[in-house]
Amino acid sequence: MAARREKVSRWESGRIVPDLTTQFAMAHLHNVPRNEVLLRGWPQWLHITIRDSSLCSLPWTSEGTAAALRAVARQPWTVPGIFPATAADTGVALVDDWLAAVEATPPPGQTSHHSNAEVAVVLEIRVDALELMETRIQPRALLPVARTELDLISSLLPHADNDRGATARLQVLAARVAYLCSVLAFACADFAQRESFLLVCMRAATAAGAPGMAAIALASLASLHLDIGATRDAQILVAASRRIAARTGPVPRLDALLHCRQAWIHAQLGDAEDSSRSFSAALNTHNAESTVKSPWTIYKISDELLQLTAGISQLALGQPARAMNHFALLTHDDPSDHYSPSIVAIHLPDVIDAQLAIGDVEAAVDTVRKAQESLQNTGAELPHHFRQRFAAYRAVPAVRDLLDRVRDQESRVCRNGKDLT
Amino acid sequence: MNPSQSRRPEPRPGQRIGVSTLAAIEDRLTALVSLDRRLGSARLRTAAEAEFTLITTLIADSTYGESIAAGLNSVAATAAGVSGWIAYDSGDQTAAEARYTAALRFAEEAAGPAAAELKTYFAALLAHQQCAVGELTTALRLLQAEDGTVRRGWTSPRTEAAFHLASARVHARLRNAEASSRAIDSARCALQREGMSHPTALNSWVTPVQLELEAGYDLLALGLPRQALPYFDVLHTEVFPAQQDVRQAAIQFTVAATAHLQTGDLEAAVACARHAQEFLGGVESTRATQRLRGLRRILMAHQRAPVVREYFADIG
Repeated sequence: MAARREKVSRWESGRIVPDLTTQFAMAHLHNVPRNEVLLRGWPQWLHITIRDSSLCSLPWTSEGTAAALRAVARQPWTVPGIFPATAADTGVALVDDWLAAVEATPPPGQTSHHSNAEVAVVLEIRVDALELMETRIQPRALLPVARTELDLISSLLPHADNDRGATARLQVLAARVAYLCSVLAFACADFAQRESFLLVCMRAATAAGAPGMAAIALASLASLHLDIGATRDAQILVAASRRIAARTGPVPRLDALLHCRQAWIHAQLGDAEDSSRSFSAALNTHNAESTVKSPWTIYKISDELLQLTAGISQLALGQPARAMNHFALLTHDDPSDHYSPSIVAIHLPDVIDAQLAIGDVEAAVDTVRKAQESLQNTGAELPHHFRQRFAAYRAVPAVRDLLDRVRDQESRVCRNGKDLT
Repeated sequence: MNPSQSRRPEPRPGQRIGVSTLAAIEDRLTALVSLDRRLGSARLRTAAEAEFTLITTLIADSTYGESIAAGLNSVAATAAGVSGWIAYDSGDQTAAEARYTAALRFAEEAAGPAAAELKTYFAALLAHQQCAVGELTTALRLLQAEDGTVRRGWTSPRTEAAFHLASARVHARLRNAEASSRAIDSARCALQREGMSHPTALNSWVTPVQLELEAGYDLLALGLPRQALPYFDVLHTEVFPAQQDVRQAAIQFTVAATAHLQTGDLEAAVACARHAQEFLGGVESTRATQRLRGLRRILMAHQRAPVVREYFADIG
């Protein structure tokens, strides 16, 4: 296989793909079946071997939910990984366990102890305000506050255990905050945290008897897999989410999200026509339901957000120029007029990908410049992403200047990140 | 962070802070105060610190106009003060002093009536904290520094009353009965002047009932338990809003038990200790727990009395 470190480095950097015989040998060492290697391809099958799936194996009970929430809210800040715990068999098992839990969870009771109910009301005010702050404040600054909120709500769950009504309200709040944390972690390019928060969001929503909310988290989990090109895993998750959508009645956000995910899946599979059809279905669902008012961020979706999904699908279909049409508002002088700081941080790398694919390097450099102005103190990993994308264009003077600036910013942001955690 | 460094000479690009963000932060802080009264401080320390850190980060790294700058300093003062209170209730006196001091500094930067209101209120809480650690001269100096603000009527009546209550406590601890009594009278006058104005989340605890209980506590601190006792009668009436602040209720019953103990009424002391125990069940507060523990230590010396023996047998 690889006797020399340099060879491994070339694999790690993505410059060289190991030949299939080497991959089979590596898979054998890690007990990964050959068909997974063939189905997933390099490097997706590696995700099966390098991951921590302990969060998926906790029981789907109130106690299991509280334990999972506490574990995630208090997890130490680590180097962000890119290996989803919910790849392959674990994803399948997760879906099976979740569907069984949805069947088993009784609807929330009405009785509620006076003091517990009052605490839930006060916490609802705090969570409403936190969701509003997400639309205004940089994700790196807000994530520690959101994590603390999740920890606080989780700490109250065991004390409300004999009070089904209050417990369900607290679990819904935990699901809302966990979802918010997943968005913030995504914006900070922290892949592992994003997945953990989505998993506990699912658990908390399911335990609360709100499977529609859990299905939205599952649809977001599917997009995490699509981000790394694990189309097959995403299909499994979207299909499970669809089963719940069919049972729970109309949940506008969920329906629109599922059509969006399906459009992206079709795009990754190279099916432009089906992708376009799914996206139209997403638009129709959204337009038909736009009058439904929902108090929670988790159920909100806007035209602007749908446009971004369309852009990503076009990018996957190898149509960067069409993608740029959908990204128009993101390349605006101040994208924060249309999108929250988190959404800007999440999708600017897509814009850069599209611009570089078109060959408009200057425009891509300009996008990074605007991003640096608009997203001060955003995730420590963002500069790293930018740098990777520009690696092939070092000969361009504007790119060289940019990479120097990014390096300076990276070291500064890393220091800030340590201060905050 | 020093608030004097928080005003930047010119706006930088970056996140813009507006009225809605400020309102959201205020909502979260108001709710935090409410949670503290319902749950006690133990679970809220990290949340309070995270809130304060976020606000100071926003002050340093955001773009905003002059009125928002004043608002941010105002919420920073509130967050620091609430964090100080939570540290105080958790028994961490060093952190409490540091956060109250930060609250005073940020309050100075907040323009308009909020500056005087917050500075006087948190100076009163810092004076209480200094009393708790035996720094009576410092406590007195803190209150003297705010005296002019109060005299000019720049604070709300409730915050003025809170200021006088702190003053009464310091004088009681200095064994100056006359000055303490005068301060209690000033607090009563301030509350009577309140009229239709609404309390804030911070000072809503300053009520006529609470004021009389504080007066009783001060008399106890002056070594006058017999004179203090009538002030605690309200605890056994429906006027006493125990459920709104169960931690405070637990502390008040502990103080009343101490007064009964000092007058030799073991039966009444034990009855109050039992009430304190009941209220402590739902909250986590080091301050309240320590006070009850202190009372139990004194009660231990009376174990020969059947009522005390029975009490210890019941609580295990």
